[in-house]
Amino acid sequence: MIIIQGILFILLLTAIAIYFRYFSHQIIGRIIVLAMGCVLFIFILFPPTANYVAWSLGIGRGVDLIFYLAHAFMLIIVGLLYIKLKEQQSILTELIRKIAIEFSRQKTDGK
Amino acid sequence: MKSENIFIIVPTYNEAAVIQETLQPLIDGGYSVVVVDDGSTDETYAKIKQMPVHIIRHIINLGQGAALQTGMEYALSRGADIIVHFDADGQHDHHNIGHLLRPILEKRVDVALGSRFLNKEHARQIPLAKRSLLRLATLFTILVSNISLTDTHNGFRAFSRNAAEKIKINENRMAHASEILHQIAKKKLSYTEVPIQVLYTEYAKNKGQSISNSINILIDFLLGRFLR
Repeated sequence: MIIIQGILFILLLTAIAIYFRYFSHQIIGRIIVLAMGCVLFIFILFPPTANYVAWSLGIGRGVDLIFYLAHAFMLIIVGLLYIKLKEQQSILTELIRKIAIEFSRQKTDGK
Repeated sequence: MKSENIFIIVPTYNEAAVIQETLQPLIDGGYSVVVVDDGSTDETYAKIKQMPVHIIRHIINLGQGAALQTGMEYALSRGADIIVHFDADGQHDHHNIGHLLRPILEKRVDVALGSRFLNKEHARQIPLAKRSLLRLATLFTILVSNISLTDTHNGFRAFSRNAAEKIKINENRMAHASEILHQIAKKKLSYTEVPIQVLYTEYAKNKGQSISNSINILIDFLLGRFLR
Protein backbone atom coordinates (compact mmCIF):
# COMPACT_ATOMS: atom_id res chain seq x y z
CA MET A 1 0.00 0.00 0.00
CA ILE A 2 2.78 2.43 0.91
CA ILE A 3 4.66 1.61 -2.32
CA ILE A 4 1.67 2.27 -4.62
CA GLN A 5 0.94 5.47 -2.73
CA GLY A 6 4.54 6.55 -3.26
CA ILE A 7 4.39 5.78 -7.01
CA LEU A 8 1.09 7.64 -7.45
CA PHE A 9 2.45 10.55 -5.43
CA ILE A 10 5.54 10.84 -7.67
CA LEU A 11 3.46 10.47 -10.87
CA LEU A 12 1.07 13.20 -9.80
CA LEU A 13 3.90 15.50 -8.80
CA THR A 14 5.60 14.92 -12.17
CA ALA A 15 2.36 15.59 -14.08
CA ILE A 16 1.81 18.87 -12.24
CA ALA A 17 5.43 19.91 -12.77
CA ILE A 18 5.17 19.16 -16.54
CA TYR A 19 1.94 21.13 -16.76
CA PHE A 20 3.46 24.14 -15.02
CA ARG A 21 6.67 23.98 -17.04
CA TYR A 22 5.34 23.38 -20.54
CA PHE A 23 1.58 23.87 -20.87
CA SER A 24 -0.01 26.89 -19.31
CA HIS A 25 1.23 30.20 -18.06
CA GLN A 26 -2.27 31.43 -17.33
CA ILE A 27 -3.02 31.90 -13.66
CA ILE A 28 -6.54 30.43 -13.88
CA GLY A 29 -5.25 27.19 -15.43
CA ARG A 30 -2.54 26.89 -12.80
CA ILE A 31 -5.03 27.42 -9.95
CA ILE A 32 -7.39 24.73 -11.36
CA VAL A 33 -4.55 22.20 -11.80
CA LEU A 34 -3.19 22.97 -8.34
CA ALA A 35 -6.65 22.54 -6.77
CA MET A 36 -7.20 19.22 -8.57
CA GLY A 37 -3.70 18.11 -7.57
CA CYS A 38 -4.46 18.82 -3.90
CA VAL A 39 -7.69 16.79 -4.07
CA LEU A 40 -5.86 13.86 -5.68
CA PHE A 41 -3.04 14.06 -3.08
CA ILE A 42 -5.64 13.75 -0.35
CA PHE A 43 -7.27 10.77 -2.11
CA ILE A 44 -3.86 9.08 -2.46
CA LEU A 45 -2.73 9.69 1.10
CA PHE A 46 -6.13 9.05 2.72
CA PRO A 47 -8.02 6.57 0.47
CA PRO A 48 -11.19 6.44 2.63
CA THR A 49 -11.72 10.14 1.89
CA ALA A 50 -12.68 9.29 -1.72
CA ASN A 51 -15.29 6.83 -0.41
CA TYR A 52 -16.64 9.40 1.99
CA VAL A 53 -16.93 12.13 -0.69
CA ALA A 54 -18.50 9.65 -3.15
CA TRP A 55 -21.00 8.53 -0.57
CA SER A 56 -21.86 12.16 0.28
CA LEU A 57 -22.50 12.86 -3.42
CA GLY A 58 -24.64 9.73 -3.77
CA ILE A 59 -22.21 8.05 -6.19
CA GLY A 60 -21.38 5.02 -4.07
CA ARG A 61 -17.75 3.98 -4.26
CA GLY A 62 -14.69 6.25 -4.22
CA VAL A 63 -13.29 4.50 -7.26
CA ASP A 64 -16.44 5.43 -9.24
CA LEU A 65 -16.02 9.05 -8.21
CA ILE A 66 -12.41 9.08 -9.43
CA PHE A 67 -13.49 7.34 -12.67
CA TYR A 68 -16.12 10.02 -13.41
CA LEU A 69 -13.78 12.86 -12.47
CA ALA A 70 -11.06 11.42 -14.72
CA HIS A 71 -13.47 11.34 -17.67
CA ALA A 72 -14.62 14.89 -17.07
CA PHE A 73 -11.01 16.02 -16.73
CA MET A 74 -9.98 14.24 -19.95
CA LEU A 75 -12.84 15.89 -21.87
CA ILE A 76 -11.79 19.30 -20.60
CA ILE A 77 -8.18 18.60 -21.60
CA VAL A 78 -9.28 17.53 -25.11
CA GLY A 79 -11.32 20.74 -25.45
CA LEU A 80 -8.41 22.89 -24.28
CA LEU A 81 -6.02 21.12 -26.63
CA TYR A 82 -8.45 21.68 -29.52
CA ILE A 83 -8.54 25.41 -28.77
CA LYS A 84 -4.76 25.50 -28.49
CA LEU A 85 -4.43 23.65 -31.80
CA LYS A 86 -6.82 26.10 -33.47
CA GLU A 87 -4.78 29.02 -32.14
CA GLN A 88 -1.58 27.52 -33.54
CA GLN A 89 -3.29 26.82 -36.88
CA SER A 90 -4.50 30.40 -36.99
CA ILE A 91 -0.97 31.74 -36.37
CA LEU A 92 0.44 29.44 -39.05
CA THR A 93 -2.26 30.53 -41.51
CA GLU A 94 -1.51 34.23 -40.88
CA LEU A 95 2.19 33.61 -41.34
CA ILE A 96 1.75 31.73 -44.63
CA ARG A 97 -0.72 34.40 -45.82
CA LYS A 98 1.65 37.27 -45.04
CA ILE A 99 4.54 35.53 -46.82
CA ALA A 100 2.35 34.72 -49.84
CA ILE A 101 0.95 38.26 -50.20
CA GLU A 102 4.31 39.94 -49.62
CA PHE A 103 6.04 37.68 -52.14
CA SER A 104 3.32 38.28 -54.72
CA ARG A 105 3.45 42.05 -54.15
CA GLN A 106 7.23 42.11 -54.60
CA LYS A 107 6.92 40.19 -57.86
CA THR A 108 4.09 42.38 -59.19
CA ASP A 109 5.80 45.64 -58.21
CA GLY A 110 9.14 44.34 -59.49
CA LYS A 111 10.96 44.98 -56.19
CA MET B 1 -16.66 51.46 -62.42
CA LYS B 2 -13.59 50.15 -64.21
CA SER B 3 -13.61 46.39 -64.70
CA GLU B 4 -10.03 46.16 -63.40
CA ASN B 5 -11.37 47.28 -60.02
CA ILE B 6 -13.50 44.15 -59.99
CA PHE B 7 -11.33 41.37 -58.58
CA ILE B 8 -12.16 37.74 -59.21
CA ILE B 9 -10.62 35.45 -56.57
CA VAL B 10 -9.95 31.93 -57.81
CA PRO B 11 -8.65 29.59 -55.09
CA THR B 12 -7.00 26.59 -56.65
CA TYR B 13 -5.50 23.30 -55.52
CA ASN B 14 -4.28 20.73 -58.04
CA GLU B 15 -6.47 21.96 -60.89
CA ALA B 16 -3.85 21.78 -63.65
CA ALA B 17 -6.28 19.97 -65.95
CA VAL B 18 -8.79 22.84 -66.14
CA ILE B 19 -7.22 25.97 -64.67
CA GLN B 20 -6.27 27.73 -67.93
CA GLU B 21 -9.70 26.99 -69.39
CA THR B 22 -11.31 28.48 -66.27
CA LEU B 23 -9.15 31.61 -66.18
CA GLN B 24 -9.16 32.61 -69.85
CA PRO B 25 -12.76 33.95 -70.02
CA LEU B 26 -12.16 35.93 -66.81
CA ILE B 27 -9.06 37.54 -68.30
CA ASP B 28 -10.95 38.23 -71.54
CA GLY B 29 -13.66 39.91 -69.49
CA GLY B 30 -11.09 42.51 -68.38
CA TYR B 31 -11.37 41.65 -64.69
CA SER B 32 -8.44 41.61 -62.29
CA VAL B 33 -7.98 37.91 -61.67
CA VAL B 34 -6.30 36.78 -58.46
CA VAL B 35 -5.36 33.11 -58.40
CA VAL B 36 -4.49 31.74 -54.98
CA ASP B 37 -2.53 28.54 -55.47
CA ASP B 38 -3.12 26.69 -52.22
CA GLY B 39 0.06 24.61 -52.24
CA SER B 40 -0.68 22.61 -55.39
CA THR B 41 1.59 19.64 -56.03
CA ASP B 42 0.75 19.22 -59.72
CA GLU B 43 1.39 21.51 -62.69
CA THR B 44 -1.14 24.16 -61.59
CA TYR B 45 1.45 26.78 -60.64
CA ALA B 46 3.42 26.32 -63.87
CA LYS B 47 0.20 26.78 -65.86
CA ILE B 48 -1.03 29.93 -64.10
CA LYS B 49 2.44 31.50 -64.36
CA GLN B 50 1.90 31.71 -68.12
CA MET B 51 -1.23 33.83 -67.71
CA PRO B 52 -1.69 37.57 -67.03
CA VAL B 53 -3.14 37.13 -63.53
CA HIS B 54 -2.14 38.05 -59.99
CA ILE B 55 -0.63 34.94 -58.44
CA ILE B 56 -0.44 34.28 -54.72
CA ARG B 57 1.04 31.02 -53.58
CA HIS B 58 0.57 29.35 -50.20
CA ILE B 59 3.70 27.35 -49.46
CA ILE B 60 1.57 24.62 -47.90
CA ASN B 61 -2.04 23.59 -48.44
CA LEU B 62 -4.33 25.40 -45.98
CA GLY B 63 -7.76 24.91 -47.49
CA GLN B 64 -10.23 26.82 -49.65
CA GLY B 65 -11.40 29.13 -46.86
CA ALA B 66 -7.85 30.26 -46.13
CA ALA B 67 -7.14 30.75 -49.84
CA LEU B 68 -10.24 32.93 -50.26
CA GLN B 69 -9.27 35.08 -47.27
CA THR B 70 -5.74 35.50 -48.66
CA GLY B 71 -7.18 36.52 -52.02
CA MET B 72 -9.57 38.99 -50.39
CA GLU B 73 -6.84 40.65 -48.33
CA TYR B 74 -4.67 40.96 -51.41
CA ALA B 75 -7.50 42.35 -53.55
CA LEU B 76 -8.42 44.92 -50.90
CA SER B 77 -4.80 46.03 -50.67
CA ARG B 78 -4.88 46.52 -54.47
CA GLY B 79 -7.91 48.80 -54.32
CA ALA B 80 -10.68 46.35 -55.24
CA ASP B 81 -14.19 47.86 -55.36
CA ILE B 82 -15.94 44.52 -55.80
CA ILE B 83 -14.65 41.03 -55.03
CA VAL B 84 -16.09 37.87 -56.59
CA HIS B 85 -15.42 34.29 -55.45
CA PHE B 86 -15.10 31.90 -58.37
CA ASP B 87 -14.33 28.15 -58.33
CA ALA B 88 -11.30 26.89 -60.25
CA ASP B 89 -12.79 23.55 -61.28
CA GLY B 90 -14.94 24.96 -64.07
CA GLN B 91 -18.25 24.61 -62.20
CA HIS B 92 -19.05 28.31 -62.38
CA ASP B 93 -20.21 29.97 -65.58
CA HIS B 94 -18.41 33.27 -66.23
CA HIS B 95 -21.53 34.57 -68.01
CA ASN B 96 -23.18 34.75 -64.57
CA ILE B 97 -20.64 37.21 -63.15
CA GLY B 98 -22.56 40.16 -64.60
CA HIS B 99 -25.75 38.99 -62.83
CA LEU B 100 -23.91 38.82 -59.51
CA LEU B 101 -22.34 42.24 -59.99
CA ARG B 102 -25.50 44.09 -60.94
CA PRO B 103 -27.15 44.44 -57.48
CA ILE B 104 -23.83 45.64 -56.03
CA LEU B 105 -23.10 48.07 -58.87
CA GLU B 106 -26.61 49.47 -58.42
CA LYS B 107 -25.75 49.83 -54.70
CA ARG B 108 -28.82 47.84 -53.68
CA VAL B 109 -26.90 45.34 -51.51
CA ASP B 110 -23.48 44.63 -49.99
CA VAL B 111 -23.39 40.95 -50.94
CA ALA B 112 -24.79 38.99 -53.89
CA LEU B 113 -25.01 35.23 -53.38
CA GLY B 114 -25.40 32.78 -56.22
CA SER B 115 -28.27 30.29 -56.01
CA ARG B 116 -28.82 27.11 -57.99
CA PHE B 117 -32.42 26.84 -56.84
CA LEU B 118 -33.96 30.11 -58.02
CA ASN B 119 -34.19 28.84 -61.57
CA LYS B 120 -36.19 25.59 -61.63
CA GLU B 121 -34.50 24.44 -64.83
CA HIS B 122 -31.04 24.84 -63.23
CA ALA B 123 -32.19 23.15 -60.02
CA ARG B 124 -33.30 20.05 -61.92
CA GLN B 125 -29.77 19.62 -63.29
CA ILE B 126 -28.35 19.12 -59.78
CA PRO B 127 -27.82 15.41 -58.98
CA LEU B 128 -30.54 14.19 -56.59
CA ALA B 129 -28.22 13.24 -53.70
CA LYS B 130 -26.49 16.61 -53.92
CA ARG B 131 -29.84 18.43 -54.06
CA SER B 132 -31.07 16.67 -50.90
CA LEU B 133 -27.84 17.44 -49.08
CA LEU B 134 -28.03 21.10 -50.07
CA ARG B 135 -31.62 21.30 -48.82
CA LEU B 136 -30.47 19.92 -45.46
CA ALA B 137 -27.62 22.43 -45.35
CA THR B 138 -30.11 25.23 -46.02
CA LEU B 139 -32.26 24.11 -43.12
CA PHE B 140 -29.20 23.92 -40.87
CA THR B 141 -28.10 27.44 -41.82
CA ILE B 142 -31.55 28.86 -41.13
CA LEU B 143 -31.45 27.27 -37.66
CA VAL B 144 -27.87 28.17 -36.74
CA SER B 145 -27.24 31.50 -38.45
CA ASN B 146 -30.77 32.85 -38.76
CA ILE B 147 -30.31 33.67 -42.43
CA SER B 148 -32.86 32.41 -44.91
CA LEU B 149 -31.54 31.45 -48.33
CA THR B 150 -32.39 28.93 -51.02
CA ASP B 151 -28.77 27.80 -51.56
CA THR B 152 -26.45 28.13 -48.59
CA HIS B 153 -23.38 26.37 -49.95
CA ASN B 154 -22.81 28.09 -53.21
CA GLY B 155 -19.24 29.29 -53.70
CA PHE B 156 -20.20 31.85 -56.36
CA ARG B 157 -20.64 35.18 -54.53
CA ALA B 158 -19.77 38.84 -54.84
CA PHE B 159 -18.96 41.41 -52.16
CA SER B 160 -18.80 45.18 -52.19
CA ARG B 161 -15.58 46.62 -50.77
CA ASN B 162 -17.47 47.56 -47.60
CA ALA B 163 -18.64 43.95 -47.11
CA ALA B 164 -15.25 42.43 -47.96
CA GLU B 165 -13.58 44.61 -45.33
CA LYS B 166 -16.01 43.39 -42.68
CA ILE B 167 -15.81 39.68 -43.44
CA LYS B 168 -12.90 37.67 -42.07
CA ILE B 169 -12.85 33.98 -42.92
CA ASN B 170 -11.38 31.99 -40.03
CA GLU B 171 -12.47 28.53 -41.17
CA ASN B 172 -9.59 27.36 -43.34
CA ARG B 173 -11.37 24.44 -44.91
CA MET B 174 -14.84 23.95 -46.35
CA ALA B 175 -16.80 25.21 -43.32
CA HIS B 176 -16.05 28.74 -44.57
CA ALA B 177 -19.27 28.74 -46.62
CA SER B 178 -21.39 28.55 -43.46
CA GLU B 179 -19.08 30.98 -41.70
CA ILE B 180 -19.46 33.63 -44.41
CA LEU B 181 -23.25 33.45 -44.15
CA HIS B 182 -23.04 33.63 -40.38
CA GLN B 183 -20.90 36.78 -40.62
CA ILE B 184 -23.24 38.37 -43.17
CA ALA B 185 -26.09 37.92 -40.69
CA LYS B 186 -24.06 38.96 -37.65
CA LYS B 187 -22.62 42.09 -39.28
CA LYS B 188 -26.03 42.98 -40.70
CA LEU B 189 -24.81 43.22 -44.28
CA SER B 190 -27.53 43.55 -46.90
CA TYR B 191 -27.68 40.64 -49.34
CA THR B 192 -29.63 39.17 -52.17
CA GLU B 193 -29.67 35.88 -54.04
CA VAL B 194 -29.05 35.77 -57.77
CA PRO B 195 -29.92 32.79 -59.99
CA ILE B 196 -26.77 31.18 -61.35
CA GLN B 197 -25.99 27.90 -63.04
CA VAL B 198 -23.50 25.36 -61.75
CA LEU B 199 -22.02 23.10 -64.40
CA TYR B 200 -21.73 19.54 -63.12
CA THR B 201 -18.99 18.26 -65.41
CA GLU B 202 -17.51 14.81 -64.73
CA TYR B 203 -14.32 16.52 -63.56
CA ALA B 204 -16.18 18.79 -61.13
CA LYS B 205 -18.27 15.89 -59.80
CA ASN B 206 -15.15 13.87 -59.06
CA LYS B 207 -13.62 16.77 -57.17
CA GLY B 208 -16.82 17.72 -55.31
CA GLN B 209 -17.68 17.19 -51.65
CA SER B 210 -18.75 13.73 -50.52
CA ILE B 211 -21.59 13.23 -48.04
CA SER B 212 -19.13 12.06 -45.35
CA ASN B 213 -17.12 15.23 -45.84
CA SER B 214 -20.29 17.27 -45.37
CA ILE B 215 -20.50 15.86 -41.85
CA ASN B 216 -16.92 16.99 -41.23
CA ILE B 217 -17.81 20.47 -42.48
CA LEU B 218 -20.76 20.58 -40.09
CA ILE B 219 -18.60 19.54 -37.13
CA ASP B 220 -15.86 22.03 -38.05
CA PHE B 221 -18.36 24.88 -38.28
CA LEU B 222 -20.03 24.06 -34.95
CA LEU B 223 -16.71 23.59 -33.13
CA GLY B 224 -15.41 26.79 -34.68
CA ARG B 225 -18.45 28.70 -33.49
CA PHE B 226 -18.58 27.45 -29.95
CA LEU B 227 -14.92 26.77 -29.12
CA ARG B 228 -13.23 29.76 -30.67
